[in-house]
Amino acid sequence: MAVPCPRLSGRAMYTDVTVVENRAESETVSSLFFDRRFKARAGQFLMLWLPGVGEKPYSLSYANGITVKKVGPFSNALASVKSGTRLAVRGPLGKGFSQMPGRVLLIGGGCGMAPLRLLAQQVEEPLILLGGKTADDILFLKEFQGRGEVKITTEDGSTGKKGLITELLPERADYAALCGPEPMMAASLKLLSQERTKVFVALERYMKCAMGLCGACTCSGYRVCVDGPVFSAATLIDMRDFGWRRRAKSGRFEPVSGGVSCF
Amino acid sequence: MPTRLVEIHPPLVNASGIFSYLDVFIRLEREGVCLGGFVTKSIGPAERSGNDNPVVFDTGYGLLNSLALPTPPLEQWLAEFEGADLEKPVIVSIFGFSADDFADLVNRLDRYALAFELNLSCPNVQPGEQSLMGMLAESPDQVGQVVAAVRGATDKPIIAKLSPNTDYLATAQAACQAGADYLACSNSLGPGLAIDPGLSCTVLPGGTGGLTGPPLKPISLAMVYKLYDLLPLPIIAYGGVQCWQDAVDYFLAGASIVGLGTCFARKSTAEVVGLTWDIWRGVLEYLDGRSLSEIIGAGHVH
Repeated sequence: MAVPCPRLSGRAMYTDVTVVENRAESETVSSLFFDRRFKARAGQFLMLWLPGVGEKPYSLSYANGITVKKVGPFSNALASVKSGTRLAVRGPLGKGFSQMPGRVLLIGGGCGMAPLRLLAQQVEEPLILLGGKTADDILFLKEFQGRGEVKITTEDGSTGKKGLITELLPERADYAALCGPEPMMAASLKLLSQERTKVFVALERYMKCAMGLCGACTCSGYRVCVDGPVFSAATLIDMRDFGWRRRAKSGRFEPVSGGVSCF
Repeated sequence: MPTRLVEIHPPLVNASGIFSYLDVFIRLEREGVCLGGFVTKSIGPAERSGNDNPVVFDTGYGLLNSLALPTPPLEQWLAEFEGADLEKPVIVSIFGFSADDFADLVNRLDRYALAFELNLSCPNVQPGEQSLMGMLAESPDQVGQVVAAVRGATDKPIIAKLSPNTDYLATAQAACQAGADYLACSNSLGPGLAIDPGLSCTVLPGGTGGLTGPPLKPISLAMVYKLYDLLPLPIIAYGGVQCWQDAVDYFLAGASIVGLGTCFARKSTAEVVGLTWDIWRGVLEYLDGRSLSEIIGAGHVH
């Protein structure tokens, strides 16, 4: 039998939320808390619309909040909103981290610690590895310590071991979840693939429609907004662009480590 | 009138601006998508970032979009085509701000294209840069000039993509006389507007965008039907196909190829592949052993 016609969705796209708290996590990082909680897997994201400024994807760091690092005009505007500000969001969107039974390694760098904070609440007894340039980059430390053992590296040695997070690897575990700068994740994935660890990675790409149509967020043909943002190592093997390049707003390729052109 | 044919099987494609890039097409092909070919997003003469987000709005009954033609630099497109390991043919969609722009793009992209689809009708260009783009579909003379310039630059099939928001019969006639091989109906409808009641403001940049999905279908179906009667050119139908019945409607109205777009919203790669098979299997079941050519235009019973 041929598949029948679907009904129209008839649903509203945006949920309006009110910011109830803007909490400084560090000099450049803030968490915004909303007046509602979202039922979400860690790794899922909201498209957050700030009228007149833009709309960008943010991973949930809390069931009722997101975490913003000031890097450009949008994040600067978002990080400075006051309690009582109304915003429109859509989501939670995308595929988050699956269930990970057994010994789980959580590896976070920079703003990747945001989805990892929520993930730490959703797994049993994680071993948590955090890396940053300086002590200021290590977010949610007390909350991570409340969930499991935490090891830290910083490039300047201002806290934890001096060096890169990859120096703590390999480490034996049943599962590993990676969130952070893509070169760090690509290097960590290589070290972990020597072990029998099932690895999942959360990717970031420039998003436009965030509903799988426009292709702006593609990583080697996977549309990160609907096929991801969390991918398994088995899929990542197929992604030549992982650790190498991403599309900018126009679709132009740029290196994942920043820079101009790359194709 | 002899016509250059766009040979693809099955006669299903993605609409331009959906999936957009060759790497997505390659992924879908590897996963077994049931499309006979792919259509690129519209490639322009120079890099453009397009509009700031939000660029889409789901009305619940169709989508409004206002991407405003983002495109990577042409040199990158050429590199992507050179490296693309793709078996299915690609229809290259192009836009420009003058007839020369279109002809130059065709010269650069000719070897990669099964056919060229001319985007004569994007509704989302910025004020101040509209020059030709904004008015193109409204002026049969200019459409004729663009098609003639492209005709002079390629022997590949030329598809003139029409707007439902203008006098499309005049535009189609001009495109036909200037040497177009196919008509495509239609580009998005509108403009339409979206307001967020909670924030009391409009959603899309500049307020408005083009409407696609189910509300566009009866409009586009009427265009296909009328143009099939009026002109001898084969037609590619776009607009609101959600399921096999919609595709069959377009074939009966006179389309030779049917494009899919908004129906892929929120679908993963595996779900996109599944939907294309559902649609094509439904068409085959409807055909019940007949060839597709037997039903193309068969809905014209007066």
